[in-house]
Amino acid sequence: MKLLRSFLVGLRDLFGKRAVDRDLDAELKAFLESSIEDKVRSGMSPDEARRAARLELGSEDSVKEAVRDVGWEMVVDGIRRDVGYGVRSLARNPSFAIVAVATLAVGIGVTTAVFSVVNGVLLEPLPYRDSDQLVRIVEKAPARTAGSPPLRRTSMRWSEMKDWGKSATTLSEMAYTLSPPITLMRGPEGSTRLSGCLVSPNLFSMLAARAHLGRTLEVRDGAAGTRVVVISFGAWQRHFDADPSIIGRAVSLKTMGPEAGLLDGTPLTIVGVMPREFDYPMSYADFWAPVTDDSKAVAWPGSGNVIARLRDGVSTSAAADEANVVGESVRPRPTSGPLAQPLPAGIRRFDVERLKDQTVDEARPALRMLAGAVGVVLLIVCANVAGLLIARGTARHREIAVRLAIGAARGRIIRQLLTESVVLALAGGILGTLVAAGGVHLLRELASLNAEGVFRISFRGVGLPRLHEISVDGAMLALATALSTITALIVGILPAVSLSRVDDVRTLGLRGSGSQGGALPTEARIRTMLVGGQVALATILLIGAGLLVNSFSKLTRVDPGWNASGVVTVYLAMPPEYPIVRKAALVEDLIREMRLVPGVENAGFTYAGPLLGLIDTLGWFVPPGRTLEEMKGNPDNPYIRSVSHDFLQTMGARLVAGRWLDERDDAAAPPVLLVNRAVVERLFGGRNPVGQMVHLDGRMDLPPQQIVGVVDDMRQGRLDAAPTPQMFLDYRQVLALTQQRSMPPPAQERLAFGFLSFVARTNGDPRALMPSLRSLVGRVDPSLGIDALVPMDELVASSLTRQRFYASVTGFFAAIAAALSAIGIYGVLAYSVGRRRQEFGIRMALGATTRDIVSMVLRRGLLLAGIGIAVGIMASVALTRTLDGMLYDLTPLDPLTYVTVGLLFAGVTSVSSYLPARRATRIDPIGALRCD
Amino acid sequence: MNEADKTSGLVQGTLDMLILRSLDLEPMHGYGIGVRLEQISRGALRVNAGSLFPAFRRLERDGQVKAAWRVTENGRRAKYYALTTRGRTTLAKATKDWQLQTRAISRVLNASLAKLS
Repeated sequence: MKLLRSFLVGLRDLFGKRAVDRDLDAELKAFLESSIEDKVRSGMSPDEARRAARLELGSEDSVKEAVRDVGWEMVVDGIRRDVGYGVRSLARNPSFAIVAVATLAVGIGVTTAVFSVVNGVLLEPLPYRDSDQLVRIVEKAPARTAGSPPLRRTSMRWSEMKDWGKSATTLSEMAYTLSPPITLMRGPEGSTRLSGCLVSPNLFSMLAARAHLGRTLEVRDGAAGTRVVVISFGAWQRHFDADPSIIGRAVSLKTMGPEAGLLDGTPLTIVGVMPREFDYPMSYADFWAPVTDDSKAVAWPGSGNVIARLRDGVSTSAAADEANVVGESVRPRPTSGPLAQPLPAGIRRFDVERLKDQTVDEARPALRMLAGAVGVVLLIVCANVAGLLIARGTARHREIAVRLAIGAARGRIIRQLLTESVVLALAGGILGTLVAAGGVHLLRELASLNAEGVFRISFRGVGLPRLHEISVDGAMLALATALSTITALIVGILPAVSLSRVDDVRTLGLRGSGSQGGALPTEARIRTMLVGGQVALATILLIGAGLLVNSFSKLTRVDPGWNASGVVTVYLAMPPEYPIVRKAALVEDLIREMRLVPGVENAGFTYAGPLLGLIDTLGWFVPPGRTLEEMKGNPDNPYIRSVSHDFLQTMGARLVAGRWLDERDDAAAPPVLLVNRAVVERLFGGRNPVGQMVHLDGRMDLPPQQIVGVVDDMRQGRLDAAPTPQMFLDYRQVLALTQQRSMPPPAQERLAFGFLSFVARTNGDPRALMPSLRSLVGRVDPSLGIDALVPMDELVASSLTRQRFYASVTGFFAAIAAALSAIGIYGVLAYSVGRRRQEFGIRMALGATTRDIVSMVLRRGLLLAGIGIAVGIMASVALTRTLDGMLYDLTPLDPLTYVTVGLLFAGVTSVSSYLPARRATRIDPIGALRCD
Repeated sequence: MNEADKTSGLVQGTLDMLILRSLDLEPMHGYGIGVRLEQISRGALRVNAGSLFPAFRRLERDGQVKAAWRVTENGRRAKYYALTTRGRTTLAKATKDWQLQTRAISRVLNASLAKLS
């Protein structure tokens, strides 16, 4: 009741404020007159009485102020007025307001964006039901070479999973996914390549995933004879024009390569479309087909990926204990071979790991580093805003002293200063939200992998996991805004609080210009320390970023032994039922046709192009004069790469000795090979091996082959991995060789054709070639599928996604940090120059030269920067160790980076010291002496 | 600040009680209340305007007094404050509480060891 009444009265007074004020004025006037009358009556003269009465009443304004402070509505009203006053006073000093708001916006926005990414990837649970119960079973095996970590395997055969599920009591459910890399979908205009999975039909209910359209797979879809499939949102949009009546349509899917036959083209009915977010087991899955009881997958010799769900309350260690019992019976340890070797002490054969940890562990150290870096940025931002506010507060001492003297309550002034800080912080927060939204978008773009076809698999881990789950995190935004607001508040009231220590009269003294009176040494000291701290923190960021940028630029300049520019690469899929002869003929036709495309200078074929990282060995390589026994187990055993004779030239490889392969080196010709420089160095002691006869695979019973040339090393996998020993054989001779050794057809195809990679070189823009190459493939054989068609330089760029991401993000942070520190130094010096105008005037009047003045100011700035940089470098020595695994060809203590960053930053800080110093010299000595 | 201001010596919250008490006799305007408090206390309590007016406002908002503009005995317009029923109740309660408290306090102050044992 009382509250309601107060509320209503308050509202009335708030809106009828003018009437209330008039009433109070009249009342005060009456009070004064009564008082005067009283005093006249007791014998004072009217003038005397008037003066005495006024004295007794005191300041009318302060009485009104006190009356206004009664009641809640006046707080609202006061805030309204304060906000208005705050905005006006900020607008009077727009450069201060702009710098402060921009700094806050960048700080809040960038911090929020990065923490949103870190939080979304590392901390948020996976988007499945009770996702912390989802685990994978890991089997460990002894490493091939001593000292390396044990090998890991998480896959199982279908039958193993079934047996495991029957014996395990700690697991409530298990789901299986087998992902053949290439599946062709037969359509009216030729075949399209898809990536999909065969899954146990319980997968969707286990993850509690719902369909976007239709239904997901259900356990009944595992019955023999069921022919259904669920497609992804992406596939629905790309291949079916997002047709809303897709449910019930039939598609024909055929798996290719080693997985040929798992899906044999029997029509499957589409029963559902998954939502865009569903990404299990990979974000690029196009379809999910159930493993039915009559499916080939049931007896498939290969293994699929298995996830399991822990029963309620079961820990991973309990599940791991059980896994070591169940695992030994389901998959007994082999009695011979490398897998029979004992594991290092303390490592058990089976382990159980959470699905989330497996997904994000790889990204963890780098993201933590990023979070640390952005935390430093936020600190610098807070320091900068604090510095700005202190400077402004100092400059306003006089204004505040005046207001106190004419009767403003101290609380009122503090409140008003706080309001100004809040206005700044809110403006920064609002703009920061925009920056955060843009930043998250940008980070996702930067970190997302741009690759197609088989490269989506081979580049897995190059981008960040879980990217599509990331959005601006409200809690993070609130946190960052709160942090900067609190900083602004604490610092904002400093001038009002410190004024209680100031002699009002001295502050008011007419001697001082606005900024001179309240030069409080404490505040100047705090500001100097803040700036020094900023410089130190910025130095750390600059050095970290410098290392990452330097490492990235080394990577982009690394000589891979081939030349990406002007090259288009095409990966094809051929119908699995084609006989090998037909495939060989197709390869030949394709190379020939590609050469005829206008603009193509050269074309070639290989079983797996650069950056795919595919490697195969063929027995043990035996150089002349050595025995098989000597060479067995040799770590430098070269990998075999099947190529068309002109592939190496098309790629821009360099011939070091001997000759290239040529047209005549066909199946009927004597078998020949090229080796790379690594083979020469490691297996021939650096001597020219051209003309030597070697055994490629330890089949000493077969005639040896001749080395006809040596090419320079080529980086085949990642650009940051050192080249390995390799040998190049014409694909026609590879086929002959595998047939001579009676290898099974899949092995023949694998070694000779592999992933069917074609390359074409042009002297023009490789992108211009792409349409004609695409139509060429359809013309040669409409049943060919195009897996990837991409310019080589784009592949190179994609393969460096991760390094580019960390280098550019930290580089951006460092740039912000450096700019803020430079502004900070400028601010401190400019302020002190302003304060010492008179002193400089006197010095100049007494004969100090411009040089003297400049060097006085400059020395102070450089000292401040120098100390900051020195501290930052020392801290960097300790901190950059965390970057160790992320640097290519660079140690975390790379002296060049340290020196460059140190000098560069010293340069920037000297400029920001020099500007105020120069201003000091422009002081007119007479003017400076007179006006103050 | 006015040297004569003795309100700072007043126990927190007692100014409201004193104003209510002075209005209990008859409605009065702001200046009159100040003068009356001084007279009754024989000059011990001199309350300045900076304390009086906020107190009037507080009491009015709280519904303990009501105000109306009237003409004074000197033919001047002034804002007269008068007790409401609510104000009267508050005054009675506050007076009782005050007396209980002061009695208790003075008993403590006058206590000696002999009396306690």
